[in-house]
Amino acid sequence: MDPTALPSFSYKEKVYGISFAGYKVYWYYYNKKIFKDLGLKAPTTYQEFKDVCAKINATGVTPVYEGMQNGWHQVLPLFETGGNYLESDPKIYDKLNSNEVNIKDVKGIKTVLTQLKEFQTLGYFGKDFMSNTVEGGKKAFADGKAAIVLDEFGWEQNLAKDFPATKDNVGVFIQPWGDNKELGINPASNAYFANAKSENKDEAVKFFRYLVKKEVLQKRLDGDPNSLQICWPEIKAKYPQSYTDYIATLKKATVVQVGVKYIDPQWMDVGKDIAAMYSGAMTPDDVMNSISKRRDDQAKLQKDPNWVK
Amino acid sequence: MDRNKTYPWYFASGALLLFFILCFIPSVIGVFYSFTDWNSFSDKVSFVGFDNFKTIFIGDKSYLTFIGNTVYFTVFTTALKTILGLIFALLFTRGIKLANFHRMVIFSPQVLSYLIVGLVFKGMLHPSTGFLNIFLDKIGLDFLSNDWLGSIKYAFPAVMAVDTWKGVGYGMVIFIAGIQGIPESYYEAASLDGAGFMQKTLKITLPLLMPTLIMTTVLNVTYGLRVFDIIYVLTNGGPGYATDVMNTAVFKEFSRGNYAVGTALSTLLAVFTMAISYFILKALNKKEEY
Repeated sequence: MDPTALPSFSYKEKVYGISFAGYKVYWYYYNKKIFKDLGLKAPTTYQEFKDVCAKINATGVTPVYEGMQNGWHQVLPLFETGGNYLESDPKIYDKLNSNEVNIKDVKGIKTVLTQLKEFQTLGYFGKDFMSNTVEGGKKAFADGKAAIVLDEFGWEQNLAKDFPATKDNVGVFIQPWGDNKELGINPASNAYFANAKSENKDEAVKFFRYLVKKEVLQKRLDGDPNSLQICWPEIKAKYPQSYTDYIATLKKATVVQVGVKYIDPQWMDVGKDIAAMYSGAMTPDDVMNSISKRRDDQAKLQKDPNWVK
Repeated sequence: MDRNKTYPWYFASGALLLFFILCFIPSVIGVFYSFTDWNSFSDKVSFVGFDNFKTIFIGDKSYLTFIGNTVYFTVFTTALKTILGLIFALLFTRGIKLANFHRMVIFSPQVLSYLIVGLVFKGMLHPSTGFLNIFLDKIGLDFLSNDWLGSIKYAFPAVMAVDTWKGVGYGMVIFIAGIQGIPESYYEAASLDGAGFMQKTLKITLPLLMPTLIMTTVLNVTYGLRVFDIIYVLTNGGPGYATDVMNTAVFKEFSRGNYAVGTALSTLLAVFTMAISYFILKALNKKEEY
């Protein structure tokens, strides 16, 4: 199994379950024609991202499509770029979980928030982004009204099904917020577990061993039209060779919401904080404090020994 | 009143029993839970005194904002629904043509679910593809276009407008029933004395409509304080926290597993609603003699 998937069903480095779903990745899809016409290259740093968006914005096209109505999409840049925070401190996830470090002191997160606010101020999300939905991104991209969309693996293939004219016109690049250079992997998905006290635990283990046979894994991937990959590297993914080649150049890291406790349960609240930040009711510091407070509240509610002595 | 023809008390006992078991007792139990640390992460429930209420009033300023938003929403929508409902009722009881048709049109939003209304208006109020802004643009009033649900300035007024549109018909039908109960002879006598429409409305209609006004005001206030559906569907309390009210906060606390704080908020809301209803009934209760 892909080692990045293991933490989702492991405890104190012992693996307790088995999973098959491919990891989730959120990255940017861009309109190749718009980029080619403007002489642009896929950005790899925040400054390059800003410059690319400035040139696209000048043509009247929305540089980056954002759908705030769903409430969760705007949080992705903050926590999907966890690899960037780990680059600065490889033990940051552990330190946050042991309450050795307060999340509001993680400078990288504040940097991303500040950059998001800058993008909003410069109008790079367009003027209607507060009322847009994530689902509207496909049409906006296909109509040429938005040049870049943040979405997950499989979006390009679904886009081509709904808008065949977009086929071969889509490129990808990882989120460059905070000069991030790592691919954020979310391995969390459904997993199989067996009850250790069950009478049939041996049969359960036999069943698991059957499920991980190469031919069975291949059948699992072939049989699901919506899945591009499974978390077993020996089974070749269905995504294009261009993805494979690009991913091979990237370091991978687990996203914050999987590696750090008390983040995922407050995802929608962070979304509201970011919306408040965009509307001017909160500052990036306010958002950081809000995230930290909710983490503390959740930890105390669950009587986490790292919070409640 | 012919007391021989009134129903005996035990005819209502079934409904009262159900209300007592399913509504009253859980509410009282809820009050006790609001003094505990009840949550989804532990089976153990411990008494914590007023900690949850301290969190609401002192610990986190956002709760006070939610309470403020709830009161603001209640006052404005109650006033709008009452005034507009009364105006429509007066209009549609004055021999206007197709009165029944007009009443049906104004009342019909009341029969739609909040989910349907919310989804429809979300589309209609979209800044670039919504019907409202496109219409304003077509008639040369594009300077009035706004991001109705995405702007911190207009989101709450927009939500209140949608809620008023949906609820005004309910008050209207109650007022129509009240107006139709006023004897016509009073208006005839007033006409003979030379009274105009406004005088008749102020001196006859409104005083005799007082019991109806009390009832609709109490209904609108209790609805406003308990509002959730229309806000959840239209904005989910956004943008940011601009349209969050007490019940969206209760929903959030329960979603987080913090049942005790959610229950404390609900308890506050229940006490506040009962107190406001009592004072409104006392303040507006004037008996008019025929």
